[in-house]
Amino acid sequence: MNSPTPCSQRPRSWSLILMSASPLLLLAACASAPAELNQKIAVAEASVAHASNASTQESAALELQIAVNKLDSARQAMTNRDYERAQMLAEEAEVDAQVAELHAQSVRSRKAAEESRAAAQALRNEIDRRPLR
Amino acid sequence: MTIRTPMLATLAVALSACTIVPERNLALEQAQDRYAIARQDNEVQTLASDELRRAGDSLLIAQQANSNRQPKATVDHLAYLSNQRILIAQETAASRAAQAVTAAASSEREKTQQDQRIQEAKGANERLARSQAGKRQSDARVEELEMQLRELNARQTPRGLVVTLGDVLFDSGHAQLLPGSVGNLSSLAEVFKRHPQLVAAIEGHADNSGDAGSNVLLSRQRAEAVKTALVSLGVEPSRLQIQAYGEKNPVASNATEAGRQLNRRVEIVFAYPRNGRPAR
Repeated sequence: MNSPTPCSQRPRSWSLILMSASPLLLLAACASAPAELNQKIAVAEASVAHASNASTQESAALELQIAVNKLDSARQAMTNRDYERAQMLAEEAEVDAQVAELHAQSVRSRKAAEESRAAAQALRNEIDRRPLR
Repeated sequence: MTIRTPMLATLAVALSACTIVPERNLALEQAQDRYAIARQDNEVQTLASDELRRAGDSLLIAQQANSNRQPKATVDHLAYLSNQRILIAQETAASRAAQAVTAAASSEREKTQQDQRIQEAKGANERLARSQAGKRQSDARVEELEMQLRELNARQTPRGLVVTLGDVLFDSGHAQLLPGSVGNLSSLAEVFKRHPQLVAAIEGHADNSGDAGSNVLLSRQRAEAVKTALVSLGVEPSRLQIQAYGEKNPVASNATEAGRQLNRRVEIVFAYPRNGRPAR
């Protein structure tokens, strides 16, 4: 009740220790895999995540699956310290995901174009049939 | 020494061959072919120029790797990336082309709808203007008619406007129109001509002198005389209807000569609604 000072001080000193230790921990992690590879994996993950939407799953499921599998393989290769292979797989996963997403998008756009063209034609036909009063 | 020289020569030949003709790589050749196709595609060139450039850059890296005799796995990988980048450019272009079609179609649809709305509004305005003009015209004609009939001393009655032709037009007991009455009748005929839809009833009346039957006959003959005169002045006979009332509808007392004179008359009744076209 009347001793808030010792309680608040203790975590502060812990956090100080953690803060000074975290760069060391990060350095230790970086030592196991090249920084460039970590970045490539992150980019591939973002690309796959971006592509993983309902439209891509519907129109480009196979392409998306290839990208997901390659990302998994890249992570596996990194664990196995095969960094060169991990980087290649990450790079391929990134473009594979983009291909999947863009393919789905072009399918969707073509469908929309077809529908709006049909709608415009239908309206024109309707007006042509309607007599001018 | 004799052995070493040919060995060196063959090594040099092998090296030179390798620098001139890099090893063939199927994936790379495929990427080169596909890139050539994409570059010739006008849609890809205009709608996905950035993506096409990136594909070209990645193809160049793959070609350099092959020229530099990098391991096959590396060249395969770089060629794969080029192939995918070419696909990305093509899909992007296809998408954008389709989106342009959608935009054009929907703006065309909007324009069609707008044109249609404009046409409809124009039509409605024209119809309104026509009906207003028509109403103004018919109002004007009604007013003009009233004015002209007023000049002929027409009275407003529940049956319509009534013009009375007094017995001064006729000799007593006769149905022959006197010559001086023509001027009065010709202004009546003019009213009929100016208002082609106007119709009228010509009603003959008599005083009570003589027997009722001959008074009916006399009133009919007088009404007919007026009709004949109007027809000869150009009014269609179908627009004039004859009614003979004899002595039934006096407007004054028959006890005096002045009253009897008022009762001997022909009335022209123009029936028409107050704010519309004259009735048929």
